[in-house]
Amino acid sequence: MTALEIKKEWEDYCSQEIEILRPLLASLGFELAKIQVHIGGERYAFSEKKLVLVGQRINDSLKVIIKVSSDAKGISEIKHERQSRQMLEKINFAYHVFFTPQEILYQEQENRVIFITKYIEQECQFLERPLEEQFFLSLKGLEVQEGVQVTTYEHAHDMSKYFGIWTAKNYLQQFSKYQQEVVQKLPAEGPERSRGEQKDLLALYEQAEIFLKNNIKVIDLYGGFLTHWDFVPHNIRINDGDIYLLDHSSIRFGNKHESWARFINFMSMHNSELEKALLFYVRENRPASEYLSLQVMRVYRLAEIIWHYVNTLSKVEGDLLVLNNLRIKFYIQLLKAVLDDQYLDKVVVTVYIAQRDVLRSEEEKVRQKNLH
Amino acid sequence: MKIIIATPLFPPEIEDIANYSRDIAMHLKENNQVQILTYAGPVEEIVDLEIFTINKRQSLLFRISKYFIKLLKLARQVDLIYVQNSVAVSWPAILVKIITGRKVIINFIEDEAWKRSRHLHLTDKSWQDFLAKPELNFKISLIRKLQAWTLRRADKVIVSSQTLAQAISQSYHLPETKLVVNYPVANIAVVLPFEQNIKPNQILVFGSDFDLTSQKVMGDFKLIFLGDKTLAKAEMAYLINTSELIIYNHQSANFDNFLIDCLAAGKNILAHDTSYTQEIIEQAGTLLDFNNKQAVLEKIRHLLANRTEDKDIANIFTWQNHLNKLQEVFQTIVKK
Repeated sequence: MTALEIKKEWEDYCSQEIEILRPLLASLGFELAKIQVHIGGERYAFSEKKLVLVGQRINDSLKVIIKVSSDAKGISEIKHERQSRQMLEKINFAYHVFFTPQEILYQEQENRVIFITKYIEQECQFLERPLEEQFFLSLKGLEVQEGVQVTTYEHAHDMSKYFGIWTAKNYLQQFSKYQQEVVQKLPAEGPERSRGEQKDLLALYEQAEIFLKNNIKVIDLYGGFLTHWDFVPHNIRINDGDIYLLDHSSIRFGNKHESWARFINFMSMHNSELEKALLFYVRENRPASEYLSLQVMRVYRLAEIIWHYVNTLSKVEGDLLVLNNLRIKFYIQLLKAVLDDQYLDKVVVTVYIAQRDVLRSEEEKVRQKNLH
Repeated sequence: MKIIIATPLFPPEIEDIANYSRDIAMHLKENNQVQILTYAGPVEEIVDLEIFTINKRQSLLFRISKYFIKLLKLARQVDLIYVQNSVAVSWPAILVKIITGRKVIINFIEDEAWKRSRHLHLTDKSWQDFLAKPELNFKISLIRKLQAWTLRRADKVIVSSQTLAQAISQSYHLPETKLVVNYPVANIAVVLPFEQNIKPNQILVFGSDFDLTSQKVMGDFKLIFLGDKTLAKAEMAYLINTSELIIYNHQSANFDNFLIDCLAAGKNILAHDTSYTQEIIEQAGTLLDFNNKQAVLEKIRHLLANRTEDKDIANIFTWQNHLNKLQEVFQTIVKK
């Protein structure tokens, strides 16, 4: 399927679903908002056929988030997310609690699942807050996860069924998959990449593989913790200082620095001051083994995000294709920096952001506007 | 002296009991031969110190039995067992004492019955109130009975304050002679990536037992209510360090480290007058009856109008003091 066909298929799916949903939701007492930002822009290239829509309850205008899918994979993801929410609420060894948006309605129909939760208002976006506030909120969100560890036989038995428990072996297996697929899927030569650059990337993956293998012990030392592998500002909302987790489908038990790594890698691009502050905090207040474990997980997650964008190259075209190639280059540079325990040059970030903003579609800019 | 630290938890677990076990081991090993026995998978290693682990990923009875067998083996070559309170540790330790005659000192660092009751939402009482009148289900009742059994058979039970000693003595029917007070150590300062200068007029209110005011701003004063909110440890330290005045709004105590950390930071403290605050704060702060709301508000205004810098009071909650007391207890017990 060409990139154009993939985009059209997603857009058709969205329109058809919304058409079917409107009367269905009305019969349940809900209505959709006129503008739906979460399904536009680059979304078509990344997600399963799962729609995240904004709406309201008709009788009291309560703002809600509606997740819906009629696709097998999308249905399974919504079901898994709800199970994860329920399981987390039941965890009796979780000494620190998560805040989750209140469930308003869940309905499984013959070929469709609808899951409605309360929309969490927040005073302002995460990245608009002062640095100190961002720093303490980040720590709070990350420490909440560290407070839940699956340790005993009883815990492991209950948790593995719902979330899965990852050990160093799982991370290495997954890394190996990323490495193989990047080799297979990354075009050897083209307007965006020279043969030399491709060779460099493969050498970088080999370096990362050695680094991971040399640190198997430290991966397992900090294993068994609850971790949200997509812990970034657009998956949380903050209300009155409480952090609400929006996406429960990305939870598993594994190395506790997985969520730290995702968050800090994200900040390397979006707020390097916060990245530096968090790394400083870990280095100064935690054992050296924790800092190393975080570095290992950052390497793993960067190998993953490069793989992710390599996988999109066959699904996109035009400016988005150029942009995703730029993203790959950006994350390669970040991976190099992390392997060397260095910060990425500020100029690299500034240049990348400027190029990204030129290449992003207007629709994507709207989608991104209130995301972080 | 040869010592085994028997603990239920050890880092990378993040509970206070795990961190204390690591820290005390690192300090004790300077002048003693120390070993650690804990329930864990992989653990953070300490140079020149042996850590024995019992894998938690096995059924409860099996892992407690294994812990007991290992402790029995290790105990034959040591002078005493320093137990960090948890039934899964204190119970095997007392059995080992009965068999080998080794001395057992229990550090009553936390009350498992209260902790579990809180997690199961059986109680929202403070530790002090729970000890006076505990809410129990079958499991918690069993834990309390086992705890009482082990505490009575220990050579000494170490607690963090005189007030806690009295409460435990009454609740668990322990003779006061069995209890020794060893004040805890204030948490070391958190290193933050930014300045921690005092913010003029910032008042930190810890606890919500008395309805003093719900206003976040009182004239020029900005009040930060911690209430029951969970904060990152770093943020708690930051708020303590940057506040001009700390209000300890608790009627009864959880015997946590909050007051101790504030005192170690030399903060100005205003607290409700109780036996616990009298004991911990002594002359270093201001005590009042918080039932008299008007008097409290006037005192806040007075304290801030007549500003004093953070107090330069000798910090008694240090590792040195804690270790001296502990060594003294160890030596007395071993000589008996």
